[in-house]
Amino acid sequence: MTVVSINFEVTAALVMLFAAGLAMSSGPIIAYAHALVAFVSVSSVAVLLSLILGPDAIGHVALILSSLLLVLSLVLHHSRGIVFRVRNLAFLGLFGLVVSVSQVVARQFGLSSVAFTDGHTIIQMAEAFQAGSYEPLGGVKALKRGFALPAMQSLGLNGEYVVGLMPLFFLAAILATGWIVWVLTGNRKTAVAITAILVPILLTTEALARHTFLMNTHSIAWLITAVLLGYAARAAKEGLSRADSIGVLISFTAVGFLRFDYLLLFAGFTFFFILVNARSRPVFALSTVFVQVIATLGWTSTVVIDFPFFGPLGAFIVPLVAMVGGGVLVWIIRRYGNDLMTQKAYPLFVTAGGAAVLVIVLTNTSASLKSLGINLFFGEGLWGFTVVFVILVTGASYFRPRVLDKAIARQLAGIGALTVVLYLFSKYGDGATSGSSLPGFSRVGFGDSLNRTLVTWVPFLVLPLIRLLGLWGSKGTVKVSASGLNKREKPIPQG
Amino acid sequence: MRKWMSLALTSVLALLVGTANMTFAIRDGTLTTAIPSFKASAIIPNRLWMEAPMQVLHTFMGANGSMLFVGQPASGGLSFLDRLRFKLGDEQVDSSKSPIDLRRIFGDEDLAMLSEFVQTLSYRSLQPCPHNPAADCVIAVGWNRERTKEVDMRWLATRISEDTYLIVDDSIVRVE
Repeated sequence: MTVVSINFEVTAALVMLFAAGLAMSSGPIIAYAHALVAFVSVSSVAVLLSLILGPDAIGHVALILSSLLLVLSLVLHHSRGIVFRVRNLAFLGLFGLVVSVSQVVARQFGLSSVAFTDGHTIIQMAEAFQAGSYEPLGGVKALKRGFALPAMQSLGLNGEYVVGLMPLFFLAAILATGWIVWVLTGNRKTAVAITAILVPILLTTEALARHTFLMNTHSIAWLITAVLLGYAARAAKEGLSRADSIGVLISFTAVGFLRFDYLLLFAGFTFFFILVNARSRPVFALSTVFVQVIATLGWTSTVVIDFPFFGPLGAFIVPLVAMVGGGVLVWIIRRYGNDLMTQKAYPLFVTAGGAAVLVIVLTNTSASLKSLGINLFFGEGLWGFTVVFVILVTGASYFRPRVLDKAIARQLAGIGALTVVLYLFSKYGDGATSGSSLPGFSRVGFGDSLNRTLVTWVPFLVLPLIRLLGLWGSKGTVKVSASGLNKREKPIPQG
Repeated sequence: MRKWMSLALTSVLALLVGTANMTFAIRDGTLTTAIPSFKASAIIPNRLWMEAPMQVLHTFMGANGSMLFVGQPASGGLSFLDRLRFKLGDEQVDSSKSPIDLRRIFGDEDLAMLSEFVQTLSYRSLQPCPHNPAADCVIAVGWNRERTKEVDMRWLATRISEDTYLIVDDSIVRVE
């Protein structure tokens, strides 16, 4: 007889977080994304507390934290009754079903992807967290394997990792990518059409499909990028509501818990949210850095011995530099900032350009670009013909009339450019810690970090697709114009 | 009208690219199926992810035929044979026999068949050549899918041309 095992604690925690998301944002797709992103932080805090309370407490603490977040979102949000509407109760049931089915199917068919040493480290850490026998990591492993994914996986049953969890992140990332289109256009038909076009591409591209089960943080990074890009679009268009701001902070908290180098990978988003909020909402602008630093320090100060740079102090120095840097940036913008600085894309592109110069000087750029080209166009990175598709779509979109406001589209593209360059810069640090005199940022093969991390930038593909397809269906169609800039000057909606 | 035309054309392009992608790469590395345990303590020592050998062999190829990310990365990693030993276990790698150049044993027809196998059925990876790190070689991994998870499956690592190495199970190439 086959026993069907569903992880009750994980399922219940996710359902509560989804309900909290529904109460906060009212949309099922973004609520799903929020539930998964919040689960990153909830399980991380649960594991940190288990260092005091004992390993048996991890699941209970995760449940308590999830229920607290649900209560908090119901108390804070004016339209809390929305959760109990029939439609949303149906979404709650559907979400619970998806979470359960993912676990059952993965277990029944023994589906897994832990063949790489990264995955080995992660599931070994998870098992150690669960058993209370964790040995603090040091060196490159501490830098690269991070904390939140092993923490989440430590919620598995009886020494297992959490079966069927990664596909939930993969699905959330796809849905959140479609959600960006809805945020940018306000047009449901456009959002559905673009998602429908993206899905066959995403599922048939081996380099992307692998992230369905791959035991790594890439699909989580894709999800967070999609969520933050959606909120960045909203911030540029009309300003963030309180619920949106909480969504941004939840995402940045997850970034802090995930991996140390993700502070740099997502620094482009941090920079953007500081730019557009420093003058009107300095506390929120500072909070975007603060939550990342606190989350990072939470685990680097407890489960890490030392880092490849600055030794035992590295865990503290870098986050504190980020905190001080964020504070200085907010001060500069408040003191000297103007609309040109905070509402245009050029600060993002200038910073990206500066970082690109550093990357060119510090890394073996030509060899890396050759490897990258082989990965992208000659099959080694398992991208098939998808990069050709991206180039065709992006090129063709320039022959179509502009749909989105130019300033907003450029700002979002600027975030993308800065994110890419900062990631390449982090690869320089990666190579430098390995003792290479002129490190590269790419090597041939799917296993190359950059090749796997490219999935992070999938959400940016919606920008050329929106322009290429335009908008159709007059109802709900929003052609964003220069008014998007003016809207930001209006008071920020609270609630 | 143009919007619908754009949608139709982009959809067709997406479907074409999707179809082409499906035929582009062998997809055995996407995930492992029928894994009997989800515990790290069972998976890692028993190498339960071994259903897709490509997963094991493909990712870790480094310069000079070394294996990346084993021990101290700065030390240069492991040799090609040690790489196989690390992933497959000491007892699974037999290097006692002298290397054989298949080009001297096989005729042109057999070699052409192996080349075709490399092109159509193996998983190929462009890596620095084990015999000359300055040059690039194709390292192809191929196996009989019907033998997946078969106990005592034997593998042979060989070089079939100047720039092509082939790692196959013994149902494809057997040397007596």
